[in-house]
Parts: sequence; structure tokens; C-alpha cells
Amino acid sequence: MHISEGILNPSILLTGAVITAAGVGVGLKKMSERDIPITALMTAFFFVGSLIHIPIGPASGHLVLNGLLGLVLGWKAWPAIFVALVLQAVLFQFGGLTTLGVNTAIIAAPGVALGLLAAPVIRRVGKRMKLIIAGVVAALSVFFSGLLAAIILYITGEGFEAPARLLLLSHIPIALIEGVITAFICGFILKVKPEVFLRTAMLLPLFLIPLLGITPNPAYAHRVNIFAWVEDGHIHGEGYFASGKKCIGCKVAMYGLRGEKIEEAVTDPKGLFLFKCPDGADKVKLVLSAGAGHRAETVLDMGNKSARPDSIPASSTITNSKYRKGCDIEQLLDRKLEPLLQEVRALRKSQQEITFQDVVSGLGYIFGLMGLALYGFSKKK
Amino acid sequence: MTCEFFAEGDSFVHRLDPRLKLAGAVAFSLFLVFIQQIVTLLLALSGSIALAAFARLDTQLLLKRLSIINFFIIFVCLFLPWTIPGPSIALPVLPDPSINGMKAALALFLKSNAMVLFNIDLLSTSSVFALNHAMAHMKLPTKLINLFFFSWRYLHVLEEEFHNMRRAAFARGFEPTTSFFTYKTYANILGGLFVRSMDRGERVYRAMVCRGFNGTFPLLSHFHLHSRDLLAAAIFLVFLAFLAGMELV
Repeated sequence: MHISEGILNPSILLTGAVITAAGVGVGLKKMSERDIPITALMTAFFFVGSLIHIPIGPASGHLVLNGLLGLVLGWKAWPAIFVALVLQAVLFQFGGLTTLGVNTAIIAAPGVALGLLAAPVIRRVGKRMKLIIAGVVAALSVFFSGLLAAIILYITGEGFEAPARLLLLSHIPIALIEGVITAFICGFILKVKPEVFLRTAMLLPLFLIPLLGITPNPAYAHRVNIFAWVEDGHIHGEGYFASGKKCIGCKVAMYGLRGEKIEEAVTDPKGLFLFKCPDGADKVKLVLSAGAGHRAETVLDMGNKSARPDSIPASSTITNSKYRKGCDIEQLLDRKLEPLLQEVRALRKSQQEITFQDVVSGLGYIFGLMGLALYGFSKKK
Repeated sequence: MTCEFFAEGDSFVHRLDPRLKLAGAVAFSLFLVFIQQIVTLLLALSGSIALAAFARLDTQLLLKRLSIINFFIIFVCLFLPWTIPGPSIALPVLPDPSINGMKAALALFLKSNAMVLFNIDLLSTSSVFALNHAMAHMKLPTKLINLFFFSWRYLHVLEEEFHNMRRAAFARGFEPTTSFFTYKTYANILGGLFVRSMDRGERVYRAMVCRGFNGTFPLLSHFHLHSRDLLAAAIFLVFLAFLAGMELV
């Protein structure tokens, strides 16, 4: 979940730093002198939690504990996590100085938001519900942290999509384990020192709810499609976003089979672009880039032009002796169906990306599995 | 537990003013964020390596730490040649990597290593306590500085307590596997740690109030800028200017 130094660009680093400065500022304001030792102990607790390796099948992961910190400390979790990350950066060089802001925001924001939302609820419900809520908060905090890290990698630029996807996937088992362990920790605390959950009397910051709604959207907004076909010795095409909006003034580059760039064009106000068919190329790759992270590509089969007529008049009747042969009809169909096939390909490609639906289903899995596991366990007792 | 792997030593670098080291580490990292060219990054990395040699850091330990940190970086670097489009070169078995992608991967590797190594050179050669003191001079909020100080202090206490509890569990035949029993055992250890932390925090606060704690720590020793500090700062600035010139040309 730590993003290393050297990857992110200045604007993302600055955004992260500003958010973290605000969060730490609010946290410090809410922290009285009296709270300092306890907050510091929670910082140390967070730090030690990250050193514990928990076996998950053949691999192992470490605890994040951001959900628990958010539940117990509320806003004060921001400075606590910040200090823990400074210590990790100085002692182990995990994370690093420039990424402190981004990493603190990634870890603290979900924990604090969910913790503040759940804290008033958790005080009122029964014991079993307390454990379930704590577990779900912890699991979701880790999942959202992974999601934020993945989104940040994703918008960093082309080339980081695959690591971002892997990062998100690897957070699902970690989130589940974290949820189970946090529920057990809370069970232990409830037995030994139940007043911990009474102390966290926090206000419910309603303005954080829309923030949570926004986080998955950038991944969704990044879907851009390209759609191209060959006609009259030209390559026609258009680019549009998943919402149906046209890409206006976006760069389209045409590459040959070996990856060499042949030509570049810019889409017009209708999102359309036009290339001349390059001589002698069988297939070309068209890459549409619409700003950071918005990218789509398609491979276009040019066909052997010399063997086919340059243009098939659509209105000309098939009864015309020239087109009576079966292969000609096939050719005609091929041509007419090509745009549709392109669309199907574009759809298939866009389905492989992290979408809003993936995020929601990931959350659903976490909720469901957590609930089942915790229910089973609380029944056994 | 000792985490201050490189803090002990008696080189020129170790004796520099911690305030300067903190400022230098932050400045260098921020500066490198903007650097794109491989030649400049190569020079920056050699500067970091030279400084490490100058500080006479334990090479084996240094390589071990760097290899752990590079795990994530190399993971990302492995993807870049095949995910960034552009002209590519042919390979016999693998799909063709693009030249732009390989350049980006190399730049990323050099940049992050230059930053990390420079931070080890400057920050890890000071004790955390000295850094905390330096932070106080940087006009950071007092509460944050106190929080940092307490966290550093408690880190060792909690770490030791955690290891004691874990040792006790292992002594009773506990073996970590992928099972709910393992998770529950770890959770109980952590829960115990949590409850003890809370109680200890309360006790310590009361003890401090009894002794007249008013929210600030009086400092007994102060930093002084020596001529060697000014010399180091001058060399550092010239190095940065040289790097900037190289990047722009």
C-alpha cells in the first residue's frame, strides 16, 4: 500500500501533501495535551502491527490497522498515521519523504472516514454487532486504501495499469484477514476494557459521505473507446468516453506492426479523425490518448487492398452479375460488419479494466464473506 | 529492538548538523521529483553512492535494506517496457518491449534509488531523537513534535512487549498457519497490547502531570552551525545546481 518514491508526478504528490496537511491539522486541533500519550501509543501500535506477518495461504501479509485507529482515534488518526509513516521512512525507508503526503492520505482517509461514521453506531448496538461493524470497517478501510493506491497509480500515466490492477487484487485477501483479526481484537478489548468504545464520542461528519462516493469514480471515468474502419483508402474513426461524450482535440497516433509511428492526427469537434491508408501495411495500430491515463487502442486489419475494389457502392444491387459470387457477398458482409466487430472488441477491452462495477462487487464480496465468517464465529461461542 | 541501523558512526556525515541534514534530504527528494533525464539521474545516484561511501556505511547492511525497498520498484519496472507504447525491439521468446518503456523503467529505478540512498545517507545517520530536535527548530507544531517523541519512545516498549507475548505463545507450541485459530491468537496478542498501551498512556500522562508537564520539553543541548556544516551545504547546493544545469541542457 506504500507507494515508493520516484513513481508519482509532482501534481499528485502536491495534492496528497495538501490533503494530508489538512487532515493532520484537524487532527492536531482535536488532540489535547492529554491525548498525546494515548495517540502516541496508538501510533506505536500501528507501527508494530505493520511488522507482524500473518500467513495467508502460501504468502503472508501484514496488518494495516487503519480501520481500528480510525474507530478509536477519529480525526487524531491522521497525525498518528503521519508520524508512524515518518518513522517508517526514516528507519526503514519504506515510503519515503516526498510520498509521505500521498501515503498518509491513502491510509488515513478511509480509516478516519469509516471510523467516524461507525463510531456513533458502534456504541449503541449489541456486542455481536459491535464486532461485525468493527470487522467490516477494518476490511473496508484496507480495501479503500488499496483502491486509492491503485487509482493513484492508474492516473499516474500509461504503463501503470497492470501494477494498479494487481495492487487492488492483492488487497482483497488482506482486507478480509484484517477484518477478521480486527473483529477478534475488538472482542478481546470488549472483554477486558469495554470503556474504550465509549470514549470515542465523535461527531458524525456528514460531509465525508459524498467523499466516499467520489473515490471509485476516477477509475470509471477513464474508460475511453476508439472505433475505426477502412473506407475509400482512408481510415475513418472516432473516439468517445464511456459516458458517450466525444473526445475532442485528442491525439490519435497510427503505429505500424513493429511499433513504429506512421502518422498522427487530432480529433475534430465531432470526435472524428481521418488517416490516409499507409502503403503496404497489412495491419495498423491506432492509439488514442485523451490526457493523463485516458487511453484506448485498436488494431485495424487493412485487408489486401489490391484484391478488393476500393469502394463497394452500398446501393448497387447484389443482383448485379459482378457481385453474384458468394465470396463477393462475404467480402461485402465483412466490410459492413467490420465497424460492429470493432465495437465488440472495444467493449471486450473496456471490460478488462477496473470499473465501478468491479469495485462495487469487490465491496460486496468483502461485506458478504466478512458477515458470514463473523456470524459463524459469534454463534460458536 | 534497534531500528537505527546506521546512526552509530563517526564520519563527517554523522557529525553534520541534523537541521541541515533534514533540510538537505527534503530538498534533494523534492528536486529529484522533477528530474526526467537518465544521465542526470545517473549522476544523482552516483552522488548518493559517494555520500554513502563518505559516511562509511556498512555496505552489506545497506545493500540488504535497498534490496527490500526495491522489491516494489522492480515489480513496477517489469511492467513498463510492455505497457508503454512506442517503437519496440524484437526479442526471441518474449513479446517485444518498447524502447520508451525501457527508458521509463530505467529512469524510475535510478530515481527512486537515488532518493532512498540519499535519505539513508542523511537521515539514518542521525539518531531519531536528534531529528526530532531538528524538527522542533523547523517550526513544526509543538503537538506534532511531542507526538513524534512519544511515538518513538513507545515504539520500543510495544515492540518488546509484543515479542514477549509472541515468544510466550511460541513457547506453548503455537505455530502460525492459515487458520482462524492463528488469526485469533494474533488478535488476542494485539488486543492485549492495545489494552496495555491504553493503560500505560493513562499512567504516563498522570505521572507527567504530577511532575509539572506543561506541554513542552525544555531542551538542554542546542545545535550550533560549524564551518564544516557550511562547507557541506555549499557543496550540496553546487551539486544541485549542476544537476539542474544538466537536466536543462
